[in-house]
Amino acid sequence: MKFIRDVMLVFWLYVQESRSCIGYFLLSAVLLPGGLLLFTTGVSEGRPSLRLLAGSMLFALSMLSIMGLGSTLLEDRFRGRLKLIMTCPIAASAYLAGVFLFASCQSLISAFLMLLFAHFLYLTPHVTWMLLPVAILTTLPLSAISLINARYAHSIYQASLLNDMIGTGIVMICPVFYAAEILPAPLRYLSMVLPPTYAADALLKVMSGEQGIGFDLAVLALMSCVALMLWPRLLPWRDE
Amino acid sequence: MMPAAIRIRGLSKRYRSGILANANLTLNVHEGELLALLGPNGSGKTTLVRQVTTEMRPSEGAIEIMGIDAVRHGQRVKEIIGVVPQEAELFEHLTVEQHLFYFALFRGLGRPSARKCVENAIDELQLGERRKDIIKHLSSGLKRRVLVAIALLSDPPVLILDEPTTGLDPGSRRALWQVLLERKRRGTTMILTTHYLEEAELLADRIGILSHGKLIALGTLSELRGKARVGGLLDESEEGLMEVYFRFIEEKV
Repeated sequence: MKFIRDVMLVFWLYVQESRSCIGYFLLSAVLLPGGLLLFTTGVSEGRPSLRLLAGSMLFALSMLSIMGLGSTLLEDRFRGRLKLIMTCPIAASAYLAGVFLFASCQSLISAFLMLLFAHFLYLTPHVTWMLLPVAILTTLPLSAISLINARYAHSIYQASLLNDMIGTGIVMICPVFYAAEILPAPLRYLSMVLPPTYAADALLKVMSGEQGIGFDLAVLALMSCVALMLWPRLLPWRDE
Repeated sequence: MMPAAIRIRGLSKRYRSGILANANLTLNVHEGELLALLGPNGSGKTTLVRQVTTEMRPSEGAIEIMGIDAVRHGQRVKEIIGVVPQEAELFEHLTVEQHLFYFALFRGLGRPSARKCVENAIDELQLGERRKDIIKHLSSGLKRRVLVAIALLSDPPVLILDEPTTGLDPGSRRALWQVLLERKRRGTTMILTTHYLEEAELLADRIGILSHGKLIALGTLSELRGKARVGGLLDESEEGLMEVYFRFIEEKV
């Protein structure tokens, strides 16, 4: 009970702190993934597709969960806010879950806005509740990347560069907007251990009204479990 | 003599780089006592404080706060201590009041109790006029006062203050001294690190001097004077803490 209360407190703390930036957030939540959807539609001879929509949604999830979570963790660590929070009797995992919830909400809002944006391109995805677990199981493994950066980076600049690069790049090197066969062999093997590969597949199937996302969900759930096991190890709640 | 609220036994901290920041420190802080820790930069004051507040794990030794093992049960210790960290920052877009309310809730208080604690802390630190201001618009001195107010929430029996008056103007510093004296009168146990010798002289019951990670002197001001005289470090005419401090530091360095 205390854990959940602390998670929600951390979440609301960051919601309050970021209220002044809400306009910028909404702009970036639509502009970047929406722009990517338009761009990829353009290079596909103007034919929008659910695959490109799934890719843009994944881009939104990846960008905002890695960059959003990462920037919060980095600011807390390097600007001294973490020191203040650590004086309180809350568990490291509650803090992390609260920050993750905050970042995830941003990425989910952005992905949802892409579903609305798709209507402007006359795309009619099949929208069901199954999109939600797919989105959550996509953001959880990506959170580990932010944490690794926040834990080991020597400076806020270095970690921000890595977060920006990975947050946007990870979707590009996975077979999200294109078929896996196009990728060179090393990247194809690499993409097999990256969450966007399975998330794209699952999102596409759900939005097409197809069945058979069990394998993709199982892989994402496994990756999420690994990420959750890494969480307490990666957060320096007590210096050694 | 009052029982010890904080017991430190054989405490050492060696960083991965090999630097020994604290070496075999042993001391007690008695209930209701204010212990001031002095020492030059890099003497190990903050390292000691970070270990006591459970922010850092000791390499060796034991710390007990109000009977709780601080090395093993960090979370339980955090429930009974208030901490002003040296380099902590606040959330720029939250107001003073929001800060205090959230951190009171973090300390496990219910909403009505949290509101009451917030009012008390605002009164005690004289933050009433600035309660609705966002942190971004406060001076560094006022931010420091908010940090102290956060540490005082829920009226903890033990306070750990790492250079709480650094950056404060003389008026604000004196106001904070009054707050600490009032807390002392109410029986709060405190460890205070500072570079202001007059602050230690005014507030502390006992003074510890750290140098190169070692506790080179510990006692009341008159005890330290006595030790300095016996050791031939001080003339009869030299009375102030400043003379005592420099004699110890210069002798041991």
